[in-house]
Amino acid sequence: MKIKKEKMLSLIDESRKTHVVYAPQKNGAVTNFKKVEDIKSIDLKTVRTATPAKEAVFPQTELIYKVESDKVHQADASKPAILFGVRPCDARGIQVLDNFFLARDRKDGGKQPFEDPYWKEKRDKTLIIAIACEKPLSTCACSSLGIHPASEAGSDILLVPEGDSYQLVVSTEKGKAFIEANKSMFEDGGDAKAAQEKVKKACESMMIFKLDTSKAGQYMKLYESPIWQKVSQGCISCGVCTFFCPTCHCFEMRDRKTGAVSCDRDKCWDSCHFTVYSLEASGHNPRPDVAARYRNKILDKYQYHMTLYGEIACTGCGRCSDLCPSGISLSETLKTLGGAL
Amino acid sequence: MTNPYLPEMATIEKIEQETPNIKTFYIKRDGGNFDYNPGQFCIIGVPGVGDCSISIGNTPTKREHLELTIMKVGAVTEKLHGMKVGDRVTLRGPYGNGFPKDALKGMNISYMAGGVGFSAISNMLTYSLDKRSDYGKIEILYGAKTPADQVFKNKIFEWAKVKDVEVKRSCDKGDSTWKEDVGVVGQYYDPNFKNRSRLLFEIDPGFKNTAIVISGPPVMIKFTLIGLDKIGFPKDKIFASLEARMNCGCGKCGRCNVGHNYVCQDGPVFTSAQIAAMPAAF
Repeated sequence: MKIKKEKMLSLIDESRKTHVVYAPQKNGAVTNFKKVEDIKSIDLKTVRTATPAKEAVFPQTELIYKVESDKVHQADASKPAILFGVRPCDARGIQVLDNFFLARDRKDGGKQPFEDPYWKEKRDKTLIIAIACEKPLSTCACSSLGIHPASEAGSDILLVPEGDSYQLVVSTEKGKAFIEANKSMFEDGGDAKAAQEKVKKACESMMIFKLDTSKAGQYMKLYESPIWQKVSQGCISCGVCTFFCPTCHCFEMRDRKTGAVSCDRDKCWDSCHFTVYSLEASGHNPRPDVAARYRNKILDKYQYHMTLYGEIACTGCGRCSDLCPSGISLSETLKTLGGAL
Repeated sequence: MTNPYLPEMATIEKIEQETPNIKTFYIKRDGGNFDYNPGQFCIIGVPGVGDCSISIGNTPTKREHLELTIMKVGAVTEKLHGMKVGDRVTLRGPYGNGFPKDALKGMNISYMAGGVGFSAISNMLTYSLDKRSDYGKIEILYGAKTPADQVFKNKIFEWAKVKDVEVKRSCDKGDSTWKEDVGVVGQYYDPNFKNRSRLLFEIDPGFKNTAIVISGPPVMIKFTLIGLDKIGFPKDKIFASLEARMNCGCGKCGRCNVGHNYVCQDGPVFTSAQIAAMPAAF
C-alpha cells in the first residue's frame, strides 16, 4: 500500500480537524517537533530534530495538577494527537520508554507497581507516523542498536520514500484503523518490504559512525574502575547528552506558586548529570563527581536497562556525541570501556 | 492509587516537638488515611514550596493519624516546622515495599535505630507491639548524638512496658543527666560490651529465630552491617530501611537509583544480602 507524498500532507492537514498534529518545523536554525498550524511549515528534510520526538508524549514541562481553593485538581486530559515525521531512532526511543513508563514486566523479577498516567494517556491517544531516513548524519548509528534507517520499531505507520510516493509499513491496530478511516487517500501497489530494504541499504552504506554494543551488560565489572575518570574527562555536567536523549526519562516535579496556598505543579525534564540531582538534604551526595555521574548515565543505558528489560536504552540517534560541548563521543566511551573488559 | 503523582489535601492535627530540630506531625487526609504496610513511606507537600518523602512512623492498625517525624533540614521541612495545628498540606502515597511483617511472624526482632531514622522502623515496631502474640521477644536499641537529640522520649517508655520488650539507649556523647549508655548503637553487637544485646548473645545466640530491623544514617547502617557480619548474623534476616533523595516516590523520576534498583520502588527496605550485592549502596 502506498500514498502520494502530497496526498499524505493533505491527509495530515485534514487530520488537524480531529487531532493535534506535531511535526518537525524549522525555527531559525533549529528544527523541532511543534504543533502544526500550517502544513507548509513541516520540515521533512532535516534528518534529526534538536529535541527527540518523545517530547510529544513526555513534554519538557508538563502541568500535572493544580492546588487551588484548598483542593487538588488534576490537569485536563490531552487531545488525540498525531506525531508525524518521526525518525526511526526517535520512534524506537518511545518504544524503549514504554517498558518503564508503562510498567512492563521486569526481567530481574522485581516489581514495578506504578505506571505513569500522563505518559499512558498521551501514548494511547497519539498515532506515530514515522519516516525512513534516506541520508545519515555523521553521528548516526541506529544500525548498531538493533534498528536501522528504515525500521518500523515504535511506529504505528512507517513511511518509506519511493519516488513521488511513500510505501507504507503498518505495525499496529492503531495504524490500521487510521488507514481504514482514510482509505480513499491510499492506493494499492508496490512492495513496501522491498522499498524498506532498499532505503535501509542505501542509507546504511553512507553511515560512518559505529557503536560497539557487544559488551553491553558487562560494564558492571568496571564499576569500581578508575576508567570512568578517563571516559568522562572534559565533561562539564551540562546535561545536554541527557536532555536531548530519546531514552532519558528523568524528571523533577516542581511547584510554581500561584497564590498564598495555591500552586501549579509541573513535571520537568531533569538530568542525572546535574550536581543537585541526587544531592540529599543532609549534604550527602551518592554521585558527588563527574565520573560517578557519567558512569550512572552510561550504566543506566547499557547495563541497568538490560538487567531490567533485556534491551539497551540507546537508539543510536547520535545526539549525545554530536552535541557534547567537550567532544565526548559515545563511540569512544564504549570502545574504551570495551577495551578494559 | 490510579495516579501515583496526585496528592490529597490533609490537615496537621497535632504537633509534638521531639528535639530542637525534629517534630512529629499527626496528619489526617481529607478522604481518610490510606492503608499501608509498615515501612512504607509517604510524600508530604507544602503547596508552592515542594514536597519530600517521609516515613510513616506509626502502625497501619492505628492510622487515624499518619505520624510523620521530620527533621528541619531542607526547604520543605523548614516550612513544615513553621506550621501550626490546623494548617493544610498535601499528602500522597503510600510508596515502597515496607517490612515483611508476615514473614517475621513468630520471630524475635531486634529493632535498631539511629537518630531520626527511628521513625523509619517505629511503624514495624508498633505493629509488632499491637500484634504482640504474633512475634517473639523484642529488643529496641536506639542511639542519638546527645540526650537532647533522642526522639520518642515518652513513647519509648510506653513501649518498654509491654511484655518481653527490652529497651537500651545510647548517646554518642552523654551529659550530666544521661544515666544510660554512651557510644554508638553498634556496640550492642560487640560481644565484649558489658551491656551487649541480650537477645543475640543470651536468648538466641545461634540466631535461629531472630531478625534485625534497622534504620539510621548511612554511616551507622554501614558499620552496623559490618559488625553484624563479624558475629555471623545471617544477612538475609537483616532488614534495613535506606534513604535517598526522592521526588516522585514511585520509581519514575530516576534520582534514587542504586544500580538498577530504585530505593523508592524496590526499597526502601532491603536485606543485608541485597545491599551486599548492590554497587556502593552508601
